[in-house]
Amino acid sequence: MSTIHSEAAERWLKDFQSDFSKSAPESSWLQTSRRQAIAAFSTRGLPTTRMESWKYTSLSPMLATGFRLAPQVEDSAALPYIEKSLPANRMVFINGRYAPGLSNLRDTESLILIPLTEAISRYPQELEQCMVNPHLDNGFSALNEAFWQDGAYLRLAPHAKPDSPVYLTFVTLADQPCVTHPRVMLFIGENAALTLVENYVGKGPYLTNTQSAIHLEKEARLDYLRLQCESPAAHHIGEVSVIAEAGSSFQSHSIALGGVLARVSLSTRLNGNGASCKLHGLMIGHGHQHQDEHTHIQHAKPDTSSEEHYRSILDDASRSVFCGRVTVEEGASQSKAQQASHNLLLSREAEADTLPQLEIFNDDVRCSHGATVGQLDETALFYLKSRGIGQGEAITMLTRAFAQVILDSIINPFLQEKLGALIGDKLDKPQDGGAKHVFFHG
Amino acid sequence: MLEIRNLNVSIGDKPILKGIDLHVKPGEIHAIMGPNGSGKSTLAQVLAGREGYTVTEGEILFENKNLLELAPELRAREGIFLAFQYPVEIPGVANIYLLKAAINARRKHQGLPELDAMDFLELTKEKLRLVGMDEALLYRPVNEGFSGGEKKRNEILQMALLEPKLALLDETDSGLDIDALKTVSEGVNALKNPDRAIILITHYQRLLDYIHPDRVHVLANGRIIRSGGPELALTLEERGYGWLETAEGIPA
Repeated sequence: MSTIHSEAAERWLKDFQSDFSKSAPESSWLQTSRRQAIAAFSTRGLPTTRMESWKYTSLSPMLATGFRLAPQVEDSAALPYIEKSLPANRMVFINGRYAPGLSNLRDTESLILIPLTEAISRYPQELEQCMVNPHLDNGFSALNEAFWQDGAYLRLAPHAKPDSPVYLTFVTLADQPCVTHPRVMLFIGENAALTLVENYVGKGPYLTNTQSAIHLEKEARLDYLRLQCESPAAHHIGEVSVIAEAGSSFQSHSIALGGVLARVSLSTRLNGNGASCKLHGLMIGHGHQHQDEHTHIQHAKPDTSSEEHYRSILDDASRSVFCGRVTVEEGASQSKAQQASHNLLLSREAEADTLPQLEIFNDDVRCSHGATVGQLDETALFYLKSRGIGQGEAITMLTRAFAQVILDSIINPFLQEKLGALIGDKLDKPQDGGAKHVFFHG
Repeated sequence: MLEIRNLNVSIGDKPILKGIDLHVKPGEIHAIMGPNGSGKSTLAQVLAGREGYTVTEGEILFENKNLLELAPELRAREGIFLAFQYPVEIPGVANIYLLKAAINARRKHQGLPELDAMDFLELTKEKLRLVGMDEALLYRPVNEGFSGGEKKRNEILQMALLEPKLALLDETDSGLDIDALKTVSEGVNALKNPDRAIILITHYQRLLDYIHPDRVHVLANGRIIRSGGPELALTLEERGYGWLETAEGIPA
């Protein structure tokens, strides 16, 4: 670890420990879990560009910032970021804490959706199993384990298929640089199906360091939309880990619009025969935005399949990184993996790095990948102009079209339309951050 | 309507068109024929305003305006339409969206109000019937996954909607089977009117069985080497381009 990294790590740890306050006494296993995480963080520290998976994303500028744990703020301060009529089921968190007044939970037998703090008192044994002796890959996950204050716990009963999506909104309001460590735990029962939206918004300079753990039982299905609309001064580090059992299918859309630096790591383990995943991603960058999406798909069992399609649209001096690692384990015969990454550069200063990594330990599989980095297609531009469409409008049409290809695979038509409008706004008026990105007005 | 005078065009250092003169009046249909590589498509692209071509000499007047000074979108709004030899696929842009944007750009230019959704749809459906195109193709991305025939019909649909003054059809017959050729030709014939000129660019005579030109020009090696009436096309069909090129002293 470089000096700046170790100094930042020490300072963060000291500050977070002094800021950390519990709303209620915690059970001893939870205290153990936090202690283990602090120990892990002290060992691992913060990632540097000398680590292969962080080669293209430097944290140095961020580490100069003295983040403190986010203070509690009035719910009303978050109102500009939340629509007034709340669709059920919706859970809102402000500065890492559950905001019941802004949430709207419809409690049903088949769908349990509660704050994580409540889940710990309701299901202590289950949560203890999940949280003690965690596998901590890096310093950020350790920090999250050590300092999380609340999050969402969702359990969908077998065969349940609610019609409407579940929304989890995380708002951070920062006057001074602050950090939140939200957590999400989702358990989708056998043959159950759900659409879930995770949405990150906020104001000011802050760091969101979030972790989501998702478990799909046999034949379950999850459509997971992750929308990163953080404030223009924000940093975002997100880790999503998915375990998909036999016959289940996981579809994700990771949409990265906000923040000055954002990194999302999505790892999916296809853990049973016939499990499948379709991962989509869209990164949009303006100014000096840096968007980084790392994915890791593990084919652990036979007949598993994965499809991956990530795109970035980069203007000004913005940058994107896509790393798609696919591991096909020895036992995963007859598996299929497909990966595509396409990057559109709207400026000479923009840069896209795209890195496929295939690790295949079985001969009986089909894997393919393709990547492109380029400008708008001149022929298409001329075609539109030859129909009377002006240069500016033609560029807008083609740029939106480039993004639309990712949105087309969103199954829920309402979400697809809303997201289309949001992305249109972001492409048209990149300078409007924060409050501009209010999602879902009722 | 269209006056091309001594047009010389190069791509890089290579001259492609070497002194083209062409005069087209409203209501006329001209066919420009010629072997591959003669410069037919270059002429179409230059008229539509494609970048990458250098006009080294000569001028093009369209309704007495200097066409070469106009950006491609302005040429289109003034009433020039190019049906592409290879219509471009644009994933992510719905066909109907392009049609609406195009027609409203033209109307705005003409000082007309934009069409509302209802009127636009009604008009589009009428034109769909004219070109024998499936309505479902309106809602698909522009040309993506269209068959060769569907792509060409889509070009004629755009032409029918935009009602150009001058339509350039670049090898519209290529890649069409006989049925598609018939419907496309019927579509074009339906658009014939005394105010509209049409230039057909084609390698083969067969399109001219369905769309009858007033004038036929043979383009070879960047020059118009022979002009005549419709009978010239028949002679070409019989004897090929070779005899003309030999007669004109151009190596075949």
